Amino acid sequence: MRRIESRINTRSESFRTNRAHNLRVREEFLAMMQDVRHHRPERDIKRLRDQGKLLVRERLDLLLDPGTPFLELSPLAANHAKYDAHIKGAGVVSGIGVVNGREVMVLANDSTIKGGAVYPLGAKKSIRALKIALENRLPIVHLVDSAGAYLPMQMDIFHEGGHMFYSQCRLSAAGVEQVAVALGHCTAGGAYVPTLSDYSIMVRGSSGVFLGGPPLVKAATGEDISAAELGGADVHTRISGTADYAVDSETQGIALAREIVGTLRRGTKQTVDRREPEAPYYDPEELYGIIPDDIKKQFDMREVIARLVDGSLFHEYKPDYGTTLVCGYAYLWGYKIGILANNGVLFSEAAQKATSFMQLCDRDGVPLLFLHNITGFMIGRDYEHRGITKDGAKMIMVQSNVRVPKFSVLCHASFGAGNYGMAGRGYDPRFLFAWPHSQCATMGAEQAAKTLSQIKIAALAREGKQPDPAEIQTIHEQIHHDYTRSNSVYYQTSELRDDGVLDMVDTRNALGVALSAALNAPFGERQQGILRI
Amino acid sequence: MSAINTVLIANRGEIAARIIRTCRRLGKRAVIVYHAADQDSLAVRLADEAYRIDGPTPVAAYLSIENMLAGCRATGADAVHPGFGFLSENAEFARALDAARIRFIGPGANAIDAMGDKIRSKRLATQAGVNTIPGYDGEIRDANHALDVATTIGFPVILKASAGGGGKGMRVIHDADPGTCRAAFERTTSEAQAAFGDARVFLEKYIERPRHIEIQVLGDSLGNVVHLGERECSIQRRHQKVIEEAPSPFVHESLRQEMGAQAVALAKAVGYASAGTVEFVVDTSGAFYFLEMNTRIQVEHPVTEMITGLDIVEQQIRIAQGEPLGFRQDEVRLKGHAIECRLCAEDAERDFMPATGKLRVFRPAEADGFRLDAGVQEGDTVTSAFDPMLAKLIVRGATRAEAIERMRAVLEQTVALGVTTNAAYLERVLAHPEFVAGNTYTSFLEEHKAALQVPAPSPEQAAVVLAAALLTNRTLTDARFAPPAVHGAMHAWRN
Amino acid sequence: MKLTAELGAGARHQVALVRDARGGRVEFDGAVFDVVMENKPDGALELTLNGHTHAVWVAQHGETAYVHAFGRAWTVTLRDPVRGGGADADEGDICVAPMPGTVIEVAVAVGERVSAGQTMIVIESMKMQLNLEADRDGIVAEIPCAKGDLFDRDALLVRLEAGKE
Repeated sequence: MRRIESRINTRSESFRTNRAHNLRVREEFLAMMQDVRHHRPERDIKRLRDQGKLLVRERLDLLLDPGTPFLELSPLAANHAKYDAHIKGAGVVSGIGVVNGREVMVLANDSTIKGGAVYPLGAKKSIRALKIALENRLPIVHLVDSAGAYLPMQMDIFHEGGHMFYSQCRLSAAGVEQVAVALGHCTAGGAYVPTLSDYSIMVRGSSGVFLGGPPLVKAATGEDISAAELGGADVHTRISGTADYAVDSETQGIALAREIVGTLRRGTKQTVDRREPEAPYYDPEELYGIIPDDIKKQFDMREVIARLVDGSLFHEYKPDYGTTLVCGYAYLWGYKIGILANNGVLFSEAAQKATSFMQLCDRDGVPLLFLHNITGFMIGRDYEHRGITKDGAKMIMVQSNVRVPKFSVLCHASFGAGNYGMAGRGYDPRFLFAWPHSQCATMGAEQAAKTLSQIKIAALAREGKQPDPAEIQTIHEQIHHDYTRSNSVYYQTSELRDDGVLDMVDTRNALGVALSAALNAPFGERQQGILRI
Repeated sequence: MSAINTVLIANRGEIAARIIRTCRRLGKRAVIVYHAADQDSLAVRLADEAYRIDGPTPVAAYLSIENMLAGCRATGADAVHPGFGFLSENAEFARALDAARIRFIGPGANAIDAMGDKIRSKRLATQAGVNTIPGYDGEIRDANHALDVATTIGFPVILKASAGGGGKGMRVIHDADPGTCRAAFERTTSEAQAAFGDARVFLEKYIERPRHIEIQVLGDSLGNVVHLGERECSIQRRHQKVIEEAPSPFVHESLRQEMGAQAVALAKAVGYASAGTVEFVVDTSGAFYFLEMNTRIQVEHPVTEMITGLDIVEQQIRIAQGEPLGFRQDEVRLKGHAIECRLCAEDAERDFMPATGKLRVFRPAEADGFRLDAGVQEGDTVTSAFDPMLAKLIVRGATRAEAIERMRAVLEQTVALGVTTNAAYLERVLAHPEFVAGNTYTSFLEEHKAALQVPAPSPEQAAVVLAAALLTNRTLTDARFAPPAVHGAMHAWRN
Repeated sequence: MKLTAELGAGARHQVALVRDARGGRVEFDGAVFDVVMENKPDGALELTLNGHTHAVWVAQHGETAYVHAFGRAWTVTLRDPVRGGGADADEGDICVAPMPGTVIEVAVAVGERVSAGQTMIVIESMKMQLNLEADRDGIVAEIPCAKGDLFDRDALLVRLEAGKE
């Protein structure tokens, strides 16, 4: 492997312009993150304090090993959702951290947001976390503190909630351990979260587990009973056996959860080629100056790779063929990976190269990293006749069936079939992250506006009408506006179409944590589909 | 008299181990009695034979004369060394051994009896020409009588309630002012009435700023008695000695001769044949007064040994064998300065509460002029069955300053972990400028209480100590629970 | 999770350890120290912290560490976070900060007798004032804070004399 030779001039005009732009984008992103994570109305915090409760991030601090990283997933979920309020983070905090040396998935309700009530995107986020835990064989720690489903939207939560409990059962069957600490009421369906877990801890005075809470019981049977008497910690640990441990404080409960995670069996992780980790040779901060300030502008992905991988070392595969796709091997946090990165539109040659490369990685057990900057495959008569569709299909076929983990980062644009070939969301990469300025859709706003305007003009022509330029212009602008909005990363992440927006310089660590997590699941046997040659 | 063949040590702990050492050196067989609590102790391991004894409590076992006699019969011992404490000053024991024709390595029973009674010993002392604390033998009738008696004794005097104790009903009168005297008398009597229901008071000389200084004597069965100089034992807490030294920083040669002569006179007066100690209180003017005589070897005898070059236990054995003292008074030379610290299992930070635990690490310092008389070894469990003294640390220096410096180094370098000890507290005493200046009085520890408190750690010290504790904690450093290498290298990164 | 370590008679510290190959990072009371530890052949340990090297002896017994350093012995006891709280006999002896904040008022003095429920310290945290009350009757032994002080969560604010059982 050789070090990538960077050709970036950090003093150039374009570098400075890009940097200024990207730093502004970053500021906006960080402000959103700060708000979503930490700004809460005082009355909500006071309510928690009065109940003797800790904030969700305080609980996380107690749970996680000191001096270890935490990769938070989809923190900006629901930021664009049309709910009755801004349900920050969809009311849930999920992420991968280390507890007593063990990598775990943490899934915690944020009870400062509507008492931790479950909104549709909250359910979706939880299910996503469970799926990640299943695919990567990560034990789960549930920190449960939820008022239950947000009833006005129950239609969109009912089945999703059920599916969450179903997922817990499937996880259990797959041998994934679950430890739950009930830090508030777990009512109705919510009662299943701790009960379906392998280990269930309840806190005296604040935990309650019941299929029907005191108000419902009163309404249904006229029985007057307190939460503690109905389904408190002592009831369930001494009388019903529904829970396993009763503690006197949240701190004790979390300490106990730590202890339990410490007792979980440690299997051997999937091995991949490894070497001693090494920081990139080039400064990742330079990414701000490398990525252009316009989605249509191009850049050399090798410059991005050079600021992500160990020692900026890269072995490029088939460098002179299919040059719009860069393929090669590198090490990231010491793990050997295969990288596919876009440097232009996908031509047949690029697709073919990608297909061969992914076959090699599949056979040799090399995880795959896809760095997206793709607007699509090349189209047109010549390309169609030469089989671009077939070649794209081969790429997608192999990519879909690799046994190795796939990781995707949307670095700039990621549109259409290009997104598909590059393991977009629909292709179940283990983790998919997006940069704050990135865009993702069927097509870019510009192209969409043009295309749909064309369609409108054609429709009018069929009716024998002449297009009104002003009307066309309005349509053009409207579509451009709508697409820009819905293509934006914040809209995407709101709907959980990614696992989180990342500040560019955080990508290396995020991938490191993700890679390490992924290796908790064995790769399994190779099983590929049929290639249309 | 013939030579002693087998010595049975009727004691335990460091003194027992120390006696065994001398027996070995003299080619005597050393046997020991032991209670189950001392089964694995150093002394039992060192002895040639050990005989198991029992009692309602461990201490009671060592107080049983019958146990000792049984031990002698079982081991064939022809002599008993009682150490200190336990039966060492029990005349009945001495007589019982006599009757069993076993030699008691100590003075005769009569001498023990005589000196065991405070009133009798004081009278004997006076008769022998030994200074005793002047006092009026009787009740003080009124304020005028008080003034008269006080004037006769010499100021300052102390008025004490006859029925009293605990520091109540006591008042010092410093001078002959009638008004002061009257006031003192009235207040003391009314206090005595209120506290004890008995208004009677008596008067004796008030020793200001007393030092506790004692003279080591040695007497043989032929009537020869010498003294081996003095020891100062003023560093005491609740009348328990903590630090002792020889010679005293206060005593000059002529005082030594005076005190020594009186001690010898007393020993001769009771026909004392063994090692013994005559204890005095000495005031700031150098006036000294008899307190009591201990008819046994003392805990702090090593400091005398260090500066005289003599082995007092050896001397006791020889005397018990009927040998004459091998030297004259003018042949006794005191060279250098010795200090002894009693290392005890107690927590100076919690009002010297006795500490228990397992002595997991015990690594005494290695130093020139350092002698360790230990009763414990690494791995021993320290319980509250016996007194809390673990070992005696003794150092000798050419000068007092050198001895102090050496002792401080020994205290700092001796590692004793698992049981809380008073080592750090002892070091604070030795470092105190007043101790260095030799201003040692029996009130020293109380007077300087605040300054002697072991200080809280500095932040850097706390950091080092906590780091050491954390990094050696099995659970915390268990590799099983360590973060994977990649996560460890990322530290507390958050996206 | 931070552990509570008791150093000597009652001084409590919040500590955390992140181990690495040569020693680790020790966090105590908010300050972080990089420590290198080496085992010496005679059984002693050599600890390097803040550029200074110290010879140290340690004997461990369960959660108690007996340490010889700086010429004297120390005792460090780690409190079990699972057991720490509620059932502890001396839990009522101390009043710790429930969250970071500032001391607004110290309403008692050392040596003063307090009764259960009596306000001892008023703190402000997250723009709310909170009265910290005595858990039980007792005598104030120590007030390691003063008006205007900033503190972290779990900081010891008031200590009562050990209760008689």
